[in-house]
Amino acid sequence: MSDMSPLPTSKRPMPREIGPGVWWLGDCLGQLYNGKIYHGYNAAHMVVGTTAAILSDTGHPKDFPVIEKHIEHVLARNPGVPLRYLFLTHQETPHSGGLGRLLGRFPELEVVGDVSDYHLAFPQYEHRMRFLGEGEAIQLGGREFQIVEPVVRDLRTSNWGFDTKTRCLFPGDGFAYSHYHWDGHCGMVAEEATSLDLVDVCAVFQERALFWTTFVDMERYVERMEWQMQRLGVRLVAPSHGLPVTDLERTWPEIRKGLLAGEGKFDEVVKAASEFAAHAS
Amino acid sequence: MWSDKAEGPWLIGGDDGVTSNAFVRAFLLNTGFWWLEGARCDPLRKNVRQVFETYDIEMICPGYGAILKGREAVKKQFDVLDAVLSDLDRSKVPGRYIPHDLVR
Repeated sequence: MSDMSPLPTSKRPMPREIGPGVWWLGDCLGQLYNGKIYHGYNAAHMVVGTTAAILSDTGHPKDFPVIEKHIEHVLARNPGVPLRYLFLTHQETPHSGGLGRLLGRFPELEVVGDVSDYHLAFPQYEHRMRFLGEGEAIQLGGREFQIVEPVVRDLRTSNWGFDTKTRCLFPGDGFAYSHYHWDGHCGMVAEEATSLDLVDVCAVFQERALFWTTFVDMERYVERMEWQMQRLGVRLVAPSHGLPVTDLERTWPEIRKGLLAGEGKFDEVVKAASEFAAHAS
Repeated sequence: MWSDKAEGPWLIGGDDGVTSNAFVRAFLLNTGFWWLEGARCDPLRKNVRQVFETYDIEMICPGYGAILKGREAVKKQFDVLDAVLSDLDRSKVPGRYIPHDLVR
Protein backbone atom coordinates (compact mmCIF):
# COMPACT_ATOMS: atom_id res chain seq x y z
CA MET A 1 0.00 0.00 0.00
CA SER A 2 1.08 3.58 -0.48
CA ASP A 3 2.59 4.87 2.76
CA MET A 4 0.49 8.02 3.12
CA SER A 5 0.17 8.04 6.91
CA PRO A 6 1.18 6.10 10.02
CA LEU A 7 -2.35 4.68 10.31
CA PRO A 8 -2.90 0.94 10.02
CA THR A 9 -2.36 -0.45 6.56
CA SER A 10 -4.00 -3.50 5.07
CA LYS A 11 -3.81 -6.81 6.83
CA ARG A 12 -4.80 -8.39 3.53
CA PRO A 13 -1.76 -9.21 1.41
CA MET A 14 -1.88 -8.54 -2.31
CA PRO A 15 -2.25 -10.05 -4.83
CA ARG A 16 -5.52 -11.51 -3.66
CA GLU A 17 -7.52 -14.29 -5.28
CA ILE A 18 -11.10 -12.98 -5.24
CA GLY A 19 -12.60 -15.94 -7.10
CA PRO A 20 -11.21 -19.23 -8.43
CA GLY A 21 -8.45 -18.16 -10.83
CA VAL A 22 -9.32 -14.45 -10.62
CA TRP A 23 -6.61 -12.35 -9.01
CA TRP A 24 -6.67 -8.75 -7.81
CA LEU A 25 -3.33 -6.99 -8.36
CA GLY A 26 -2.02 -3.49 -7.69
CA ASP A 27 -1.72 -0.73 -5.20
CA CYS A 28 -3.57 2.31 -3.86
CA LEU A 29 -3.19 5.95 -4.77
CA GLY A 30 -3.87 8.46 -1.98
CA GLN A 31 -5.76 11.68 -2.72
CA LEU A 32 -6.50 14.54 -0.35
CA TYR A 33 -10.18 15.50 -0.29
CA ASN A 34 -11.99 17.53 2.38
CA GLY A 35 -9.02 17.19 4.73
CA LYS A 36 -8.86 13.40 4.51
CA ILE A 37 -6.70 11.06 2.49
CA TYR A 38 -8.94 8.89 0.38
CA HIS A 39 -7.42 5.84 -1.25
CA GLY A 40 -8.41 4.45 -4.60
CA TYR A 41 -7.03 1.48 -6.49
CA ASN A 42 -5.67 1.52 -10.00
CA ALA A 43 -5.95 -2.21 -10.11
CA ALA A 44 -5.05 -4.85 -12.63
CA HIS A 45 -6.67 -8.29 -12.61
CA MET A 46 -5.50 -11.68 -13.82
CA VAL A 47 -7.73 -14.48 -14.99
CA VAL A 48 -5.99 -17.84 -15.15
CA GLY A 49 -7.27 -20.71 -17.29
CA THR A 50 -5.74 -24.13 -17.87
CA THR A 51 -3.90 -23.07 -21.04
CA ALA A 52 -3.44 -19.30 -20.79
CA ALA A 53 -3.84 -16.30 -18.53
CA ILE A 54 -5.10 -12.81 -19.34
CA LEU A 55 -4.31 -9.54 -17.60
CA SER A 56 -7.12 -6.97 -17.51
CA ASP A 57 -5.59 -3.46 -17.36
CA THR A 58 -1.99 -2.72 -16.44
CA GLY A 59 -2.52 -0.52 -13.40
CA HIS A 60 -0.91 2.88 -12.84
CA PRO A 61 2.62 3.38 -14.23
CA LYS A 62 3.94 4.04 -10.71
CA ASP A 63 2.70 0.60 -9.66
CA PHE A 64 4.48 -1.36 -12.37
CA PRO A 65 7.18 -2.80 -10.04
CA VAL A 66 4.43 -3.98 -7.65
CA ILE A 67 2.21 -5.37 -10.39
CA GLU A 68 5.12 -7.15 -12.05
CA LYS A 69 5.82 -8.94 -8.76
CA HIS A 70 2.14 -9.77 -8.38
CA ILE A 71 2.04 -11.25 -11.89
CA GLU A 72 5.10 -13.36 -11.10
CA HIS A 73 3.43 -14.54 -7.89
CA VAL A 74 0.31 -15.64 -9.77
CA LEU A 75 2.30 -17.34 -12.53
CA ALA A 76 4.39 -19.20 -9.93
CA ARG A 77 1.13 -20.51 -8.44
CA ASN A 78 0.06 -21.72 -11.91
CA PRO A 79 3.10 -23.40 -13.47
CA GLY A 80 2.86 -24.01 -17.20
CA VAL A 81 0.20 -21.36 -17.78
CA PRO A 82 1.67 -18.40 -19.69
CA LEU A 83 0.48 -14.82 -19.48
CA ARG A 84 -0.67 -14.73 -23.09
CA TYR A 85 -3.15 -11.84 -23.34
CA LEU A 86 -3.57 -8.28 -22.16
CA PHE A 87 -7.01 -6.62 -22.26
CA LEU A 88 -7.21 -2.87 -21.64
CA THR A 89 -10.53 -1.34 -20.61
CA HIS A 90 -9.37 1.96 -22.15
CA GLN A 91 -6.39 4.11 -23.03
CA GLU A 92 -6.24 6.27 -19.90
CA THR A 93 -2.86 6.15 -18.14
CA PRO A 94 -3.95 4.45 -14.86
CA HIS A 95 -5.39 1.62 -16.96
CA SER A 96 -2.88 1.23 -19.78
CA GLY A 97 0.27 2.98 -18.54
CA GLY A 98 2.24 -0.23 -18.11
CA LEU A 99 1.62 -1.38 -21.69
CA GLY A 100 5.12 -0.90 -23.13
CA ARG A 101 6.90 -2.43 -20.17
CA LEU A 102 4.58 -5.45 -20.12
CA LEU A 103 5.05 -6.09 -23.85
CA GLY A 104 8.79 -5.88 -23.30
CA ARG A 105 8.72 -8.12 -20.23
CA PHE A 106 6.45 -10.82 -21.75
CA PRO A 107 7.44 -11.45 -25.39
CA GLU A 108 4.42 -13.74 -26.03
CA LEU A 109 1.90 -11.22 -24.75
CA GLU A 110 -0.78 -10.05 -27.19
CA VAL A 111 -2.98 -6.99 -26.60
CA VAL A 112 -6.66 -7.62 -27.37
CA GLY A 113 -9.81 -5.46 -27.35
CA ASP A 114 -10.19 -1.94 -28.70
CA VAL A 115 -6.51 -1.35 -29.42
CA SER A 116 -6.99 2.09 -31.02
CA ASP A 117 -3.97 4.38 -30.86
CA TYR A 118 -1.57 2.11 -28.91
CA HIS A 119 0.46 1.56 -32.08
CA LEU A 120 1.18 5.30 -32.16
CA ALA A 121 3.01 5.03 -28.84
CA PHE A 122 4.54 1.61 -29.48
CA PRO A 123 4.86 1.07 -33.25
CA GLN A 124 7.42 -1.66 -32.61
CA TYR A 125 4.65 -3.78 -31.02
CA GLU A 126 1.86 -3.11 -33.53
CA HIS A 127 1.93 -6.73 -34.76
CA ARG A 128 1.02 -7.82 -31.21
CA MET A 129 -2.19 -5.76 -31.05
CA ARG A 130 -5.45 -7.38 -32.16
CA PHE A 131 -8.83 -5.67 -32.36
CA LEU A 132 -11.61 -7.61 -30.66
CA GLY A 133 -15.12 -6.17 -30.48
CA GLU A 134 -18.06 -6.69 -28.15
CA GLY A 135 -19.26 -10.28 -28.19
CA GLU A 136 -15.86 -11.70 -29.10
CA ALA A 137 -13.89 -13.78 -26.61
CA ILE A 138 -10.50 -15.19 -25.70
CA GLN A 139 -10.26 -18.89 -24.80
CA LEU A 140 -8.16 -19.50 -21.68
CA GLY A 141 -8.89 -23.22 -21.17
CA GLY A 142 -11.90 -24.10 -19.04
CA ARG A 143 -13.12 -20.54 -19.21
CA GLU A 144 -13.34 -17.66 -21.65
CA PHE A 145 -12.85 -13.97 -21.30
CA GLN A 146 -15.50 -12.03 -23.19
CA ILE A 147 -15.52 -8.44 -24.39
CA VAL A 148 -18.82 -6.91 -23.25
CA GLU A 149 -20.69 -3.63 -23.49
CA PRO A 150 -19.15 -0.80 -21.46
CA VAL A 151 -22.15 0.88 -19.85
CA VAL A 152 -20.25 3.53 -17.85
CA ARG A 153 -17.32 4.57 -20.00
CA ASP A 154 -14.54 7.03 -19.65
CA LEU A 155 -13.61 7.15 -23.32
CA ARG A 156 -15.42 6.36 -26.55
CA THR A 157 -13.08 3.37 -26.90
CA SER A 158 -13.81 1.90 -23.44
CA ASN A 159 -14.75 -1.77 -23.13
CA TRP A 160 -15.59 -4.09 -20.26
CA GLY A 161 -14.56 -7.72 -19.77
CA PHE A 162 -16.31 -10.80 -18.38
CA ASP A 163 -15.03 -14.17 -17.14
CA THR A 164 -17.48 -16.98 -17.86
CA LYS A 165 -16.26 -19.31 -15.09
CA THR A 166 -16.66 -17.04 -12.06
CA ARG A 167 -19.24 -14.76 -13.79
CA CYS A 168 -16.87 -11.92 -12.94
CA LEU A 169 -17.33 -8.51 -14.58
CA PHE A 170 -14.31 -6.29 -15.21
CA PRO A 171 -15.94 -2.86 -15.61
CA GLY A 172 -12.89 -0.57 -15.63
CA ASP A 173 -14.26 2.77 -14.48
CA GLY A 174 -17.68 1.35 -13.68
CA PHE A 175 -18.16 0.66 -9.92
CA ALA A 176 -15.56 3.35 -9.18
CA TYR A 177 -15.15 4.48 -5.60
CA SER A 178 -12.42 5.20 -3.10
CA HIS A 179 -11.94 3.65 0.35
CA TYR A 180 -10.72 4.69 3.80
CA HIS A 181 -7.04 4.01 4.32
CA TRP A 182 -7.44 5.14 7.95
CA ASP A 183 -9.94 2.36 8.58
CA GLY A 184 -7.71 -0.34 7.07
CA HIS A 185 -9.84 -0.92 3.96
CA CYS A 186 -6.84 -1.43 1.66
CA GLY A 187 -6.90 -4.97 0.30
CA MET A 188 -10.46 -5.64 1.50
CA VAL A 189 -13.41 -6.58 -0.66
CA ALA A 190 -16.40 -4.25 -0.43
CA GLU A 191 -18.32 -6.48 1.96
CA GLU A 192 -15.40 -6.56 4.44
CA ALA A 193 -15.10 -2.76 4.54
CA THR A 194 -18.12 -2.38 6.78
CA SER A 195 -17.37 1.23 7.83
CA LEU A 196 -17.18 2.42 4.21
CA ASP A 197 -19.92 4.88 3.21
CA LEU A 198 -20.35 3.56 -0.33
CA VAL A 199 -22.88 6.20 -1.36
CA ASP A 200 -20.51 9.00 -0.40
CA VAL A 201 -17.33 7.57 -1.93
CA CYS A 202 -19.15 6.65 -5.15
CA ALA A 203 -20.54 10.17 -5.50
CA VAL A 204 -17.13 11.73 -4.83
CA PHE A 205 -15.51 9.54 -7.47
CA GLN A 206 -18.19 10.45 -10.01
CA GLU A 207 -17.50 14.13 -9.52
CA ARG A 208 -13.70 13.81 -9.49
CA ALA A 209 -13.09 11.29 -12.25
CA LEU A 210 -16.25 10.80 -14.33
CA PHE A 211 -17.60 14.34 -14.49
CA TRP A 212 -20.01 13.56 -17.35
CA THR A 213 -22.05 11.35 -15.01
CA THR A 214 -23.02 14.45 -13.03
CA PHE A 215 -24.69 15.96 -16.13
CA VAL A 216 -26.67 13.03 -17.52
CA ASP A 217 -29.72 11.12 -16.37
CA MET A 218 -27.76 8.39 -14.56
CA GLU A 219 -30.94 6.43 -13.81
CA ARG A 220 -30.86 5.28 -17.46
CA TYR A 221 -27.25 4.08 -17.11
CA VAL A 222 -27.94 2.35 -13.79
CA GLU A 223 -30.89 0.54 -15.37
CA ARG A 224 -28.64 -0.59 -18.21
CA MET A 225 -26.04 -1.87 -15.74
CA GLU A 226 -28.75 -3.90 -13.99
CA TRP A 227 -29.98 -5.25 -17.32
CA GLN A 228 -26.45 -6.24 -18.29
CA MET A 229 -25.62 -7.87 -14.94
CA GLN A 230 -28.81 -9.89 -15.12
CA ARG A 231 -28.21 -10.91 -18.74
CA LEU A 232 -24.65 -12.04 -18.01
CA GLY A 233 -25.45 -13.57 -14.63
CA VAL A 234 -22.75 -11.52 -12.91
CA ARG A 235 -21.76 -12.79 -9.47
CA LEU A 236 -18.45 -11.01 -8.89
CA VAL A 237 -17.25 -7.54 -9.89
CA ALA A 238 -13.59 -6.54 -10.20
CA PRO A 239 -13.45 -2.79 -10.77
CA SER A 240 -10.27 -0.84 -11.51
CA HIS A 241 -10.73 1.70 -8.73
CA GLY A 242 -13.27 0.32 -6.28
CA LEU A 243 -12.93 -2.65 -3.96
CA PRO A 244 -14.06 -5.97 -5.48
CA VAL A 245 -17.74 -6.74 -4.99
CA THR A 246 -18.39 -10.33 -3.94
CA ASP A 247 -22.03 -10.03 -2.84
CA LEU A 248 -23.99 -8.00 -5.38
CA GLU A 249 -27.32 -8.43 -3.65
CA ARG A 250 -25.91 -6.73 -0.56
CA THR A 251 -23.60 -4.13 -2.12
CA TRP A 252 -25.23 -3.08 -5.41
CA PRO A 253 -28.07 -1.07 -3.79
CA GLU A 254 -25.51 1.20 -2.10
CA ILE A 255 -23.41 1.60 -5.24
CA ARG A 256 -26.61 2.33 -7.16
CA LYS A 257 -27.43 5.17 -4.79
CA GLY A 258 -23.88 6.49 -5.10
CA LEU A 259 -24.03 6.53 -8.90
CA LEU A 260 -27.22 8.57 -8.71
CA ALA A 261 -25.93 10.89 -5.98
CA GLY A 262 -23.35 12.51 -8.26
CA GLU A 263 -25.89 14.61 -10.19
CA GLY A 264 -25.14 18.31 -9.81
CA LYS A 265 -21.88 17.72 -7.91
CA PHE A 266 -19.77 19.19 -10.69
CA ASP A 267 -21.86 22.38 -10.66
CA GLU A 268 -21.19 22.73 -6.93
CA VAL A 269 -17.44 22.45 -7.50
CA VAL A 270 -17.50 25.07 -10.28
CA LYS A 271 -19.60 27.39 -8.12
CA ALA A 272 -17.27 26.96 -5.14
CA ALA A 273 -14.22 27.61 -7.34
CA SER A 274 -15.79 30.80 -8.74
CA GLU A 275 -16.64 32.04 -5.26
CA PHE A 276 -13.14 31.24 -4.04
CA ALA A 277 -11.59 33.13 -6.99
CA ALA A 278 -13.85 36.13 -6.40
CA HIS A 279 -13.02 36.13 -2.70
CA ALA A 280 -9.27 35.85 -3.37
CA SER A 281 -9.31 38.79 -5.78
CA MET B 1 -10.83 21.46 -38.01
CA TRP B 2 -9.21 18.79 -40.17
CA SER B 3 -7.03 19.16 -43.24
CA ASP B 4 -6.21 16.58 -45.87
CA LYS B 5 -2.86 18.26 -46.39
CA ALA B 6 -0.06 18.01 -43.86
CA GLU B 7 1.12 21.47 -44.82
CA GLY B 8 -2.21 22.96 -43.76
CA PRO B 9 -3.18 25.75 -43.62
CA TRP B 10 -3.20 25.41 -39.82
CA LEU B 11 -3.72 29.10 -39.07
CA ILE B 12 -7.12 30.27 -40.27
CA GLY B 13 -8.64 33.74 -40.07
CA GLY B 14 -12.22 34.52 -41.03
CA ASP B 15 -14.57 31.82 -42.25
CA ASP B 16 -13.06 28.35 -41.97
CA GLY B 17 -15.63 26.95 -44.39
CA VAL B 18 -16.69 23.99 -42.22
CA THR B 19 -17.98 25.23 -38.86
CA SER B 20 -21.73 24.80 -38.66
CA ASN B 21 -24.15 23.59 -36.01
CA ALA B 22 -24.44 20.20 -37.72
CA PHE B 23 -20.66 19.77 -38.02
CA VAL B 24 -19.95 20.67 -34.38
CA ARG B 25 -22.85 18.57 -33.12
CA ALA B 26 -21.64 15.50 -35.01
CA PHE B 27 -18.05 16.04 -33.88
CA LEU B 28 -19.02 16.28 -30.20
CA LEU B 29 -21.38 13.30 -30.21
CA ASN B 30 -18.99 11.02 -32.09
CA THR B 31 -15.97 11.77 -29.89
CA GLY B 32 -15.39 12.24 -26.18
CA PHE B 33 -18.65 14.16 -25.70
CA TRP B 34 -20.92 11.29 -26.78
CA TRP B 35 -22.89 11.75 -23.53
CA LEU B 36 -24.12 15.30 -24.25
CA GLU B 37 -27.39 14.32 -25.93
CA GLY B 38 -30.13 14.85 -23.34
CA ALA B 39 -27.68 16.01 -20.66
CA ARG B 40 -28.01 19.10 -18.47
CA CYS B 41 -26.19 21.46 -20.82
CA ASP B 42 -27.22 24.74 -19.18
CA PRO B 43 -24.37 24.76 -16.62
CA LEU B 44 -21.91 24.04 -19.41
CA ARG B 45 -23.32 26.86 -21.56
CA LYS B 46 -23.14 29.24 -18.63
CA ASN B 47 -19.49 28.48 -17.92
CA VAL B 48 -18.41 28.56 -21.57
CA ARG B 49 -20.17 31.91 -21.97
CA GLN B 50 -18.39 33.20 -18.89
CA VAL B 51 -15.02 32.38 -20.46
CA PHE B 52 -15.95 34.30 -23.61
CA GLU B 53 -17.21 37.30 -21.66
CA THR B 54 -14.31 37.38 -19.20
CA TYR B 55 -11.43 37.30 -21.66
CA ASP B 56 -10.80 39.30 -24.82
CA ILE B 57 -10.01 36.24 -26.91
CA GLU B 58 -8.36 36.84 -30.27
CA MET B 59 -7.26 33.31 -31.03
CA ILE B 60 -8.30 29.71 -30.25
CA CYS B 61 -5.52 27.13 -30.15
CA PRO B 62 -7.30 23.79 -29.74
CA GLY B 63 -5.64 20.53 -28.84
CA TYR B 64 -6.65 19.14 -32.23
CA GLY B 65 -7.07 20.92 -35.55
CA ALA B 66 -6.29 24.32 -36.94
CA ILE B 67 -5.63 27.50 -34.95
CA LEU B 68 -8.48 29.98 -35.42
CA LYS B 69 -7.48 33.63 -35.50
CA GLY B 70 -9.50 36.83 -35.23
CA ARG B 71 -12.32 38.04 -33.04
CA GLU B 72 -15.02 37.18 -35.56
CA ALA B 73 -13.77 33.62 -35.96
CA VAL B 74 -13.59 33.23 -32.18
CA LYS B 75 -17.10 34.60 -31.71
CA LYS B 76 -18.47 32.24 -34.32
CA GLN B 77 -16.97 29.22 -32.52
CA PHE B 78 -18.52 30.24 -29.21
CA ASP B 79 -21.87 31.03 -30.81
CA VAL B 80 -22.07 27.71 -32.63
CA LEU B 81 -21.03 25.74 -29.54
CA ASP B 82 -23.66 27.56 -27.49
CA ALA B 83 -26.38 26.83 -30.03
CA VAL B 84 -25.42 23.15 -30.23
CA LEU B 85 -25.38 22.76 -26.45
CA SER B 86 -28.74 24.50 -26.25
CA ASP B 87 -30.25 22.06 -28.73
CA LEU B 88 -28.81 19.05 -26.87
CA ASP B 89 -30.11 20.17 -23.47
CA ARG B 90 -32.42 17.91 -21.50
CA SER B 91 -35.19 20.47 -21.83
CA LYS B 92 -35.29 19.77 -25.58
CA VAL B 93 -33.99 16.19 -25.84
CA PRO B 94 -35.04 13.55 -23.30
CA GLY B 95 -32.22 11.95 -21.34
CA ARG B 96 -31.56 8.36 -22.39
CA TYR B 97 -28.89 5.68 -22.31
CA ILE B 98 -26.46 6.31 -25.15
CA PRO B 99 -25.33 2.98 -26.62
CA HIS B 100 -21.64 2.39 -27.18
CA ASP B 101 -20.35 3.47 -30.60
CA LEU B 102 -23.64 5.05 -31.67
CA VAL B 103 -22.83 7.19 -34.71
CA ARG B 104 -24.81 10.44 -34.89
